[in-house]
Amino acid sequence: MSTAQLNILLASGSASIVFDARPCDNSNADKRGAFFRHSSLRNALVIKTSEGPTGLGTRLFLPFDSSNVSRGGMSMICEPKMTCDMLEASFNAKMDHAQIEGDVRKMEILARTPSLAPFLLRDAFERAGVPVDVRYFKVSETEVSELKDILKAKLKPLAAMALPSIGSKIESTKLDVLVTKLWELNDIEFLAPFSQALKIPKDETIETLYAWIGVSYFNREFSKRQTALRGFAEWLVSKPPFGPGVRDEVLAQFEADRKPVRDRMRSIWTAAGSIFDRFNSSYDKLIQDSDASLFVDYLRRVKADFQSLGMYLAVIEQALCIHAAIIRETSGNQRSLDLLRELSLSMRIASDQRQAAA
Amino acid sequence: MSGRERRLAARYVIGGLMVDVNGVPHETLDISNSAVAIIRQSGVNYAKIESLARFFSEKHNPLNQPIKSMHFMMQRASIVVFGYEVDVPSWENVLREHDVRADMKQLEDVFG
Repeated sequence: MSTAQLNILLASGSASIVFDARPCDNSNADKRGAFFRHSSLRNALVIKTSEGPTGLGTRLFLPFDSSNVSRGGMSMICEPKMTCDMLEASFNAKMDHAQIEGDVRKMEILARTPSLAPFLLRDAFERAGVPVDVRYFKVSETEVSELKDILKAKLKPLAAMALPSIGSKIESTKLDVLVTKLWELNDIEFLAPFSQALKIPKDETIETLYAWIGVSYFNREFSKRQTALRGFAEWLVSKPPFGPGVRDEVLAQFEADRKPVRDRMRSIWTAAGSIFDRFNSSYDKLIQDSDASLFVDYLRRVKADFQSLGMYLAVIEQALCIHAAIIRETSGNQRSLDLLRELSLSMRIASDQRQAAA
Repeated sequence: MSGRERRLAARYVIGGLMVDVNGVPHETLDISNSAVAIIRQSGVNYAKIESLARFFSEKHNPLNQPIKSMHFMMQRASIVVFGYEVDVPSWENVLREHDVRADMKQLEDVFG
């Protein structure tokens, strides 16, 4: 990723790809404490990027000047499984393990969660039992509560699958209790009948059901971006933004840069649509016909789908941020052409990396 | 409503939708325009509806409706299904709007 791209993403405030872990400055009234405890990490920003063989990376960026991130900084990749030694190696310095252990755990959660979307991230920290100041997540309590209610309600048909095994022990509002337990995903004994009914390997039940909740959440997130993406799609095939007398090679390069962006965006949007179609049809069948066969089939791939959607969302957000920066420029000026070129290049590189990994 | 009609009718799942049967609140599992599956509770005589039944929801006012008529259709270990009628002409639209899938939109082919 180029410095210009990085700066645009950091400045975009796009909460699904940039998590700002910097403490508030003194002028801010909320006086929240630091997200990361170790002094070296205090001014970190975390970015989800489309990079690497899996196509989704989590990068911790430490700006040289915390009040002006465009002045550059250093970055490191966060992994779903990290150790204090890995952090020491990145900083090339000895650190007090007792002091950084909590931060390493937080970095793992940030890396494991396929998107930095505030609701999803806050939920991931809650589920992991890692206490953080929730003011770092740009989502209101009302929104969290509404989203939880919506996502929990979707679990009702699944919770009902456990009812026959409970039989006569059913009490008032029992289904609600089952739904809550299914949402919390922390009672292994309770989940056992689900593993069996849904043919999920026992040690994968929590991850599988969590991924199902995650895909359901992503459906909303992708729908919300449809209008912006339509605008971008139109721009990608619109009349080139040059006046008369433009050189042929400039025009040719412009089109050569737009094409891979359009191809890649179209491909991931179609792939995301296919995931949601499979997700929705298996869920519809469960509700309409009380037939879980399609649903059981779908669950086999839901973890991979959850990760893929995180990657697709990161690519879409990155592209939308760059597009917003391009249209802020004077139409057809050199900087706008450079930004498009870099976006096009990063999409080609990501595609090559994935092909090489495959 | 017959069992066949229930199988063919579109079913909706609505979070927090309850139905009061014989004075006892029951949680709904799914609901169509004319039949509702509820979670069975011990001590309730489902074969004999003695008092006026009603739908109720703490969060969604349009769902709070008295039930004009209700008849027992079938019972399983954990659920009971009733046919019902409400006096709301656009009732199915109300159910659709509050269905758990209402926010699950199909993505359009914006790249055409």
